[in-house]
Amino acid sequence: MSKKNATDLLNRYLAGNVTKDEKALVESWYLNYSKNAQLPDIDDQQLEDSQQDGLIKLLAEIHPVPKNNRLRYLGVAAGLTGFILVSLILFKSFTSDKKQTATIKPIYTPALPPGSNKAILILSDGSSIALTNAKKGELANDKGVTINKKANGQITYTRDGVSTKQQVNAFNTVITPRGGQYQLVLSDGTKVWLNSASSLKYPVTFIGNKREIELSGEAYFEVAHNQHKPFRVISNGQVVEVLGTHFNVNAYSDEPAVKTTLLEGSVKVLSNGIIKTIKPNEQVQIMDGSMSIVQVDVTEAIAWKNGFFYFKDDDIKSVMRQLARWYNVDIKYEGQISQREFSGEISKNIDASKLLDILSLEKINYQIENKTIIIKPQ
Amino acid sequence: MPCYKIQTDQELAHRLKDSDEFAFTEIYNRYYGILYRHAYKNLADKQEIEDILHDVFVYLWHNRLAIDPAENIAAYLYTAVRNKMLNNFRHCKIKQKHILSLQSFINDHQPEADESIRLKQLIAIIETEVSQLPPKMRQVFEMSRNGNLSHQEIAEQLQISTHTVKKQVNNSLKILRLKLTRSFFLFFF
Repeated sequence: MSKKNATDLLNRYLAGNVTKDEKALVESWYLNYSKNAQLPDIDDQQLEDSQQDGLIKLLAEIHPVPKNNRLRYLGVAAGLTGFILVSLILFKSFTSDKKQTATIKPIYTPALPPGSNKAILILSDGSSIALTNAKKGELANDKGVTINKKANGQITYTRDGVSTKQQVNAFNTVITPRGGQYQLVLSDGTKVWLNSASSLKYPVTFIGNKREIELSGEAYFEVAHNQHKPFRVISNGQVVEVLGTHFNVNAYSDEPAVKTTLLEGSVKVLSNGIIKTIKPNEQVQIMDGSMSIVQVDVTEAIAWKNGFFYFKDDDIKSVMRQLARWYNVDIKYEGQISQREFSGEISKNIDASKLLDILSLEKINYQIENKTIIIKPQ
Repeated sequence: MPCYKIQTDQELAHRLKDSDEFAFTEIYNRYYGILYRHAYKNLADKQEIEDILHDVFVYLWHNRLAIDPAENIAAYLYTAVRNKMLNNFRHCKIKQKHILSLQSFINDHQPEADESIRLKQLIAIIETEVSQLPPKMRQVFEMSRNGNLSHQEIAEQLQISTHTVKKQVNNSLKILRLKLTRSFFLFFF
């Protein structure tokens, strides 16, 4: 048997075009090669992060996006509009200059469907559950607390008959990917709406004289009243303390300011040793370490929870950050960035291209490539 | 909900065939760590390893209906990763190093002709990494390999009540029985 060429052999192996002996050769080499390879140190944290992030990405990929009928009609409508547009353009070019038609490519905009209820739950032992497709009913029992999924998708925490003495501090985390959102009810009855690209870490049951949870990203809270156990939300350099109220915290690390908006009751916001108390319709903004209170329209702050984007004098980058989180897309800018500001309310339940079409009435130029929206100069 | 942690790979494979995402997640959690460490040996690029493992698990999910639960899920994943690695060797920056090594192996070594022995060696090589995993990941993996634990011991390790464990084991047995009966019928009609 003549000596084989390694490149050729490997190529044929991967194409499935090898003899039994050749297959043995490549596979034996791989064993030998792996056995002798030096493994550099791997950071435990790096590995755990990769595993966790990888799972979110994986579950997001294998989940078909649920479509309701209205969306489907919208999709058809959008498709038709696109078809008519393309036809018009082709028609126009046919009539105006026949020579040019060969070079005209059909305009194709890939669909970027809106986000949906999607999240993973990480239990206190580190194991995880994909909440999206989990069946309703009991999901798990974590340290004496039963976790249920209700018919509307919400997850709830109910303490079993265990005495408080036996309870230990066990934390759960709910993570929403980009393009996901979720609702849950904590063991004290507090309701939480978690926006996309966010996470919430909380004890399965609140032991002691306080209720403390950690938030990254954005969430709306309806805190169950308990005068003896203040409720604290720790996020991105601030602590919000309440006894029982309705408020929204926007603490995305890629947003310039952390914003806490109060709808009902009263809240205290602590940051850098300063405490401010706000009333309903007020918002605390923390930017570059300084704190300010402004009067706001609260519907703006919680529009996301009700299925809308709400823009008010927002620049293009601020608008696009919200789109990136909801449509799970990356944003790229080409050339000079428009200084134009956007105001208005748009449904979140439409395809990104539809939404961009509405925005482009306001004179922005865009192009979609795979999962990237490219903003072009006018 | 059944406790997936204490299920054997075979039980998980059965559930995976039924498109059970919990079972899929458990398989992922069980194998991600050692597959990652194995891939790191020949490819010290975090991003590329993550992409390879992503593809392997997407492949597992898309081919779940074709899985024979009697087959070894571990072997299925290990060979999938091996093939992905070999494919990566063709295109990566240090392609030449891999090719030279393969060439010298072709010239000087005798391959192992028995396929089942090669598979055993692959399993051994990949699973030596178990001891190096972060403690929690290691526990998840080892639990699945230890078939001799009593329900009480499993409960202690996982800190859940024995009653729940028994119920969960019974539930999974019921499902298995149900499946057997179903295929039995298929056989006769």
